[in-house]
Amino acid sequence: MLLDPDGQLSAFLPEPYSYSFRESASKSGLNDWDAGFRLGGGITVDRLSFSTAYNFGLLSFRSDKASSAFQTYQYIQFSVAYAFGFGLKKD
Amino acid sequence: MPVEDSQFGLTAQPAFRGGALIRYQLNDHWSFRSGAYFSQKRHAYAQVDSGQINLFGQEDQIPGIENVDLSTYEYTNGSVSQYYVEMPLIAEFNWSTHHVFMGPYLSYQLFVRSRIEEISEAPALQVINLDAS
Repeated sequence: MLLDPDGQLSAFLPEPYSYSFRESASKSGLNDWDAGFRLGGGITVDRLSFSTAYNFGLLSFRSDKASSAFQTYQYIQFSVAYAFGFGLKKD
Repeated sequence: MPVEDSQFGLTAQPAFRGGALIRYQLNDHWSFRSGAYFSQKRHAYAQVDSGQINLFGQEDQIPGIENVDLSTYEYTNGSVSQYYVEMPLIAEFNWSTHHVFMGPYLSYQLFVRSRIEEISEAPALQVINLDAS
């Protein structure tokens, strides 16, 4: 017995499996500005500096404050810096 | 593109930052730093929606249908990378080889890259052949 011999039922059913991937560069819904506070520490070896900091964002990354949850960027940052020493006086 | 808010964060998202700073040494211990960074900040979200397949009364003609999951699932996984130019103003205290610092930063978004992956599944239709029973 055929349940759907002419495919009319299948036309109203979803695909058994489908996959899609897309990319976007739209800024819609995102806040152009971010501001926050940074607190950290580290060590300096010669001209190299190694630091860890916690960044506490204060502004929502979304621009639509009325309909979206208030969510900010909060992150830990590891950094390496090199000091070129421009402007240092030579003894 | 709507920015979803379900299950925000998905724990850690790696990102990078690079730039140049100028340090102004006030005395042996205190200094100020400021400059400009190119900074990436990321967040991600995941969402699951479910529904039910409507077989338009044909269910009774499928043997064993009571053991089949007639649900449909739609999974959405997204990540948003925001790229900023960032200007910090940092006060730093130095002693010996150690330093601690704190201060505010202000960032302006330059551009955005979003990736959205959508998967739809109907498990029942993966095991039921409607063309023949």
